[in-house]
Amino acid sequence: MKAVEVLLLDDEPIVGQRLKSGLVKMGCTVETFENPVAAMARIAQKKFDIVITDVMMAEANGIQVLEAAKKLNPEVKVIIITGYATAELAREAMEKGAYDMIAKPFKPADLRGLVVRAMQELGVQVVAPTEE
Amino acid sequence: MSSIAIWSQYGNQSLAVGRHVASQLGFRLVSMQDLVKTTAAEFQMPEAELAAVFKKRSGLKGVFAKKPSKGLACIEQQLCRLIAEDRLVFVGHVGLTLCQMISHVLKALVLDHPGGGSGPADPGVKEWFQTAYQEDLEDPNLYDLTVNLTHMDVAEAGNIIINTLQHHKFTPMTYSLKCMDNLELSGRVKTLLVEKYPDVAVKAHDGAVYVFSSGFNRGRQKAALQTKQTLLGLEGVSHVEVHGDKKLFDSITCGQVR
Repeated sequence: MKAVEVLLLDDEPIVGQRLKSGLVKMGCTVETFENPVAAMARIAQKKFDIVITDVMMAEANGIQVLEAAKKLNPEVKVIIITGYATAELAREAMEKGAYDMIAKPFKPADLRGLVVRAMQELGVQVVAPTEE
Repeated sequence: MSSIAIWSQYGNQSLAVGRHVASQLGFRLVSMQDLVKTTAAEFQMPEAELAAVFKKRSGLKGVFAKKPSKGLACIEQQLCRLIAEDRLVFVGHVGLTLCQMISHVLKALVLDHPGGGSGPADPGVKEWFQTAYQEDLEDPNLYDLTVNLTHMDVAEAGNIIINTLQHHKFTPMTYSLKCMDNLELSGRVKTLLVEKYPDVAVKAHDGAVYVFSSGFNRGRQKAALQTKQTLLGLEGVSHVEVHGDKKLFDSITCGQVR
């Protein structure tokens, strides 16, 4: 069975570190990035199934990452994670093709639940996430 | 699923638009009258007491009550519950702040010419809205969509609302569904405290509740502690902070309060 390819982008290293292990346990192959420009360059090179991105970052924002990812691969599931969630941002993200959006702070299990749903929609058998 | 809130000072015609939308989409229609009725049943309050929230007070030069009342808090709490059940078309003039925070609620304003099919507008509705929300009911900036019955019939207006709802941006997502949960909890807390602390402001996030009132100023720690204990006993509450300092409260909640 092919592993689900996940790109995880957040400019705070701790976020990537905390979330990566849980996703790996679920059977995902995870690449973490702290720099949005580097992440977008990687998205241009490799086809990811799921992209998880923060919004407020210095060199590019998560909506730009969303647009770039959807342009290259309309099937990709993009999950927005943000500490600056508003109704306006939520609508913009959905309008531009985001799969879902979750406000920080969130429990890692909440994000894993979203990833499980995305994986199921991709037709992938899922290893049930464990509680932390 | 998404929901729709239709505001208007033209009660009959906006209700006709709402009825058309609800029947076409198979959504539940809730009018102001329905909302007051279900709130009365839910909170075991007399309907007349709740309806009085929208009436001018006699003996005070005909002004509306400026203090937030328990009745209004209950009505908004009930509206929040109904929206949480989703597939709802609400027609009325309450819950503006509530609906503005939830991205999957489409907010529509129905206008009509004063001499149009709606008959005269109810000026009391506009005045009440201004007093309650410090906003002009007919300010198009408050809404996602404005339909004017001077230029179209009820079915056409309803169809425009239905078509607009198809936009992906009105799709519920984890964030907006959590917003609903948080608003439901903050509404419950507000309903509990508003009579004793009329200036109470509440924010809830994932079971954590942040409360402000000038009634919890320095020297009133006992009141703050009692409130904290009471709130910790509420279902779904895991953490409580009670503040008497508005500046600190605003910095914690970033203004997203009920």
